[in-house]
Amino acid sequence: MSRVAPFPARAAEQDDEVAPFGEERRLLAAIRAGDERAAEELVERTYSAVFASVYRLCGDSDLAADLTQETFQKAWAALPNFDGRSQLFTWLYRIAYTTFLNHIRRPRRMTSLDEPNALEICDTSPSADQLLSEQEEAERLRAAVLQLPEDLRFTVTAHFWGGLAVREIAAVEQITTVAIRKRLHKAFTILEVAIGGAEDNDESEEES
Amino acid sequence: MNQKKRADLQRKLTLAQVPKPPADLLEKIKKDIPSHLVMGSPTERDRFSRSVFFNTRVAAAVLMMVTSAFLVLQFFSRADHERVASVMAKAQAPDPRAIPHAVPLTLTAQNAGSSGPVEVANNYVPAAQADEAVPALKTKPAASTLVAEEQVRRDTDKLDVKDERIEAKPVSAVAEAPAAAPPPAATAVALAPLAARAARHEGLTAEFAKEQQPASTLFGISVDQHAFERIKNAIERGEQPESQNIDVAALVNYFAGPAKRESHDVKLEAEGSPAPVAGNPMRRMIRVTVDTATAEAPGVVATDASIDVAFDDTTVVAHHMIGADAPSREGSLARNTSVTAIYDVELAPRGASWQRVATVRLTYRSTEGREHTIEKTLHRRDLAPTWLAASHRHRLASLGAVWGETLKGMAGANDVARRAEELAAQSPNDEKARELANAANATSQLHSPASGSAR
Repeated sequence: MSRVAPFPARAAEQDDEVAPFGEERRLLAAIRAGDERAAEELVERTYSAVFASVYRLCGDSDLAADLTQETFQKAWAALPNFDGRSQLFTWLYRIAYTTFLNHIRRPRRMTSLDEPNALEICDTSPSADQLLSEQEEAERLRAAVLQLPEDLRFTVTAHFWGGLAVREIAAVEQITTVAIRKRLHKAFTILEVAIGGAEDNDESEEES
Repeated sequence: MNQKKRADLQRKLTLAQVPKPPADLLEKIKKDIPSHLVMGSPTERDRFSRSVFFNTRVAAAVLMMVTSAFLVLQFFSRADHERVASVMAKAQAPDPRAIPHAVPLTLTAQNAGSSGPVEVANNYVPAAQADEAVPALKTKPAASTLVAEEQVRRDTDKLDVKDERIEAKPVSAVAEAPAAAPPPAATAVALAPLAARAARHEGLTAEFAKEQQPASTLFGISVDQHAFERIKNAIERGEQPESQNIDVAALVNYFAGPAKRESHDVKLEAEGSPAPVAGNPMRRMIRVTVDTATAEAPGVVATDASIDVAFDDTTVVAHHMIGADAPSREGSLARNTSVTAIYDVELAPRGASWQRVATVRLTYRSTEGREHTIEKTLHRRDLAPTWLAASHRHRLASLGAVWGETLKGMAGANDVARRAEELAAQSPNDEKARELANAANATSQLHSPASGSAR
């Protein structure tokens, strides 16, 4: 039985502007009381972190901006139903993630998860024949992540791209932290195979 | 999967470069902030309202449960209390007519008015005998005073009021009482049945009862209406009355007076307070008064009347009736009659407010032949906290009792005079309060060292 690798919470990777929990409650109370300035403060504290998370999901700055804006629009509509049991950014990330999924499932603007070679179509830069740059490797990794099953995909993106702690993800998914770590372990196994296979294919192409 | 590859994969996932958000993104998002964020939506308001309503209902339910539990406990506690009291009362007095543990009352009968005709009960002594026992018997108007009271209506078969019970039974259902009651228990004083006197009174005819002479004794207690006048005259002459001639029981009844206006056939009152003069802090004055209906038409309202006062020995250390030894069974009670007894009681130093001090029980037979019992219980909490807090009738009667004691040589004449002056000042229209104040002042001067005649 393989041991689940530790995936410690990476608080340092959290956006510094994300308000602490007590501050979030104060902001929420003020927003619900009709304080528009509090709503603006909430946006200022969280929009960059939401944007970064969405960008890591989609890999496109303009699209990430649109999805971030859409995320906040949905957030305002859903704010009355926010019970405050999770952190505000966790709640926002969940909206952003759902917004992204809805986006890629739209027919006209879909970034297909069913076409592993989609990246190749997008990757039309003149350096395609060069060694894999870090950016290309990141794109490959992103594509592999997006190919993961839904539960693993959300767990990986929330943890590494959204910066959520294992405990927060467990609360959102309503499962234990051990289950989250198992998910991460399983996702890493799949990703390693996917990344390794892609690298092998690249090497064979070079040899031929 | 080795650790190195895992760490490399984690690094790649974590260190992916992220560009800065577009400059106008923040403003775009801020523009999207809706202006109706207050309480979100109707759904939110509705949920909030439901939450408040639910919490209110829960709080109300909890409050009702606590209140109900408290009331149930109170109910059972009281029920137990009454059951214990009932059992004890039955143990002390198995036969309501015999009243084994009764303390005879020093009660004095008074007529409500001097001008109106007064029908004497059939137990009144004949004039000749009255002259022997109570010389210079005269009719005199009486004042009234009250404490605690219980009332019995003629048509009432049974009435329960708090600590008091009035029971009526058909004559046919009541066995004849024994001629003499069994000896009293240690905790109670038996009402001594004066068989000879009762027999004599039972033999009195209705014609005698219509002779309109006031009773000189009731329940074996002197109710001489002229006792005070004789003493007052003696004091005014500068003479110290002889102790054996001072009828303290009669003085008590003189100052207690009759009820102002009593509509019930028979009424029982019981009241307690500290003594009017300083002394033993545990000393209490217990007053027991029986009043009969006030009416212009004379007539007998009760027969075979007897009264007993049972003290709780766990609460009462010592007790005695002022001016008399013990009340006896009374043959009959006429209208316009009032009888008062004062007990000097010493309470135990410590005790709970619910502890019983005394139980007063009056039994009699109505003119219809039904047997009635009026019972009143005095607890510690029922006693007035100060003498001044007691009723005017109680203060006047108790002060008259203490004054009578001082006349017999007891100390405290100055204190009694001071109290009497206070009482008279508080009641400027009360003639008897003024009389008592004057008499007490005169007594104080008699007892002063300058007079040389004290004691």
